[in-house]
Amino acid sequence: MFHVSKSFGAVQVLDDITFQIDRGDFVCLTGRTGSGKSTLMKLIYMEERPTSGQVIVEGYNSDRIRHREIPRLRRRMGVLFQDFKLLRERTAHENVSFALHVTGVRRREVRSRVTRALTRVGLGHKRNAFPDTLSGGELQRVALARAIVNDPVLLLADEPTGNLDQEAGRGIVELFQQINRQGTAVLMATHNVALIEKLPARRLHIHEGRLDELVPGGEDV
Amino acid sequence: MKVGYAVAEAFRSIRRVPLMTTVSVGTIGLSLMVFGLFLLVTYNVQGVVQELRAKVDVEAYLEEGVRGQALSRLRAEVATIPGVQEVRYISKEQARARFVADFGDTLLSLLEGNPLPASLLIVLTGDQRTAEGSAAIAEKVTPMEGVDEVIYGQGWVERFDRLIMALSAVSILIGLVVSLASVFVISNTVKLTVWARRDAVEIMKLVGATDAFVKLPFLVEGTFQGVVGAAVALVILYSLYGYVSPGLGDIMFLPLSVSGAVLVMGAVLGGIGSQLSLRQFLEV
Repeated sequence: MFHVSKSFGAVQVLDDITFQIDRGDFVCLTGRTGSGKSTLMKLIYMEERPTSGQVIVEGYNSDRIRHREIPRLRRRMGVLFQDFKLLRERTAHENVSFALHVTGVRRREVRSRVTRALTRVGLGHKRNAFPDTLSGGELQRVALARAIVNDPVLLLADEPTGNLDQEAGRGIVELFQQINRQGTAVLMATHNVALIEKLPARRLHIHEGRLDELVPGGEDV
Repeated sequence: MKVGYAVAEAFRSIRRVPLMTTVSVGTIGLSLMVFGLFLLVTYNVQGVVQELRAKVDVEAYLEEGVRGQALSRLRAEVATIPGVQEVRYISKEQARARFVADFGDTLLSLLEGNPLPASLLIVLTGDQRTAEGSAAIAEKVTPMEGVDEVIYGQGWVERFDRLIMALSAVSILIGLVVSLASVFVISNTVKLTVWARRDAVEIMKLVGATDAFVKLPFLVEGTFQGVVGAAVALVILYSLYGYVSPGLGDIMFLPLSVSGAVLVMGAVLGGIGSQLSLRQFLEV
């Protein structure tokens, strides 16, 4: 992200933001609710375009990317939300396979990949469960399985533990670490500083639209 | 594979909002039925008119005493007029026989001799059998030597021509109104199903489904509603036809090609309607 600013009408949400995430990075993005964390995420999966500056993800530049290229970019990343965004009338397996079906993956492949993803998040045994019967932590795991089923290079998690209790939240973060160790970069936005305090991760902080990188000693870079 | 999945998704959606789908199919059915009804009437009136047109002839009554060479010349002259297919001579005796066959011989027996003139029955080619066509031939034949008077079915031919034009215009108008109404109804129904499935649409876009893939199930759904609506319209129309036709005699149902066209029209309208409603949901 190079000198990115984003305004909605007269309101400036992000102001001259520059940072880079490399393969294998684990980055935590902190800041108060409404500080622009979600907007920054949206800029990365290109649901929003910057008012000025450039976002470059996997070789796609926000200035030049064509509308029809955006789906290809999104298949290279996984996105996770506070509210899980699962389809209630579908089982865990169907929710995950949905992501593969709609991107044109062959039926033969879908089954094995979904099973592998659900197993990775520890829900192999609940593949036929419907969302209504799962706990918050389990729901977020299904969403995580859906996000990683495409083997993304980058996992974006927007307040993934916001609706979870401490223990379930910690479980999710542990899964992030496992996934990260296998090579996927993770960008997790949260306002729950306690949760990430002991994480060996880079920390970015948004305050009044500006971004600071914090080093684990407490001082700003 | 893609299409198979889209079809499965479309029917999943239809099952989710059966009432809306029924209302949509019903409205489309009703609209297309009104359209079909007018097609049916136009089609049958056209058939009747065509049949009547075959009977549009021009008859030239001859002056007394035209026979032999004069008659042959006149016949040959009339036959050369473009639009004339055949010229038949009806002698005084034949005219009398024809009159007697039509009206009986009471009237003629009151008169002395045979008052009916000989005539030339001028049979027109198919495209000439209109009000203008027969009038044009009559105009050319009237001044010819030996011709006393020319008659043709001017009045009713004109009236039928006007009726056909009016019916065709009304059919086209109704077709247009029905098309707009169907597109509107389907686009609103699909809008509701898109709304009901907005989570799925959002997720599809997030995980990298192309716009075409997002649209496909809705296209299938709209097309399906359109076809079913059209089929319902045709079935009701056919039942109506079966109920009414014995009383009306020789009326025909829409030929297969036109019925097929109504189905295709339903499909196309459904497809268009569904795509219209999607635009606003697919903005990135």
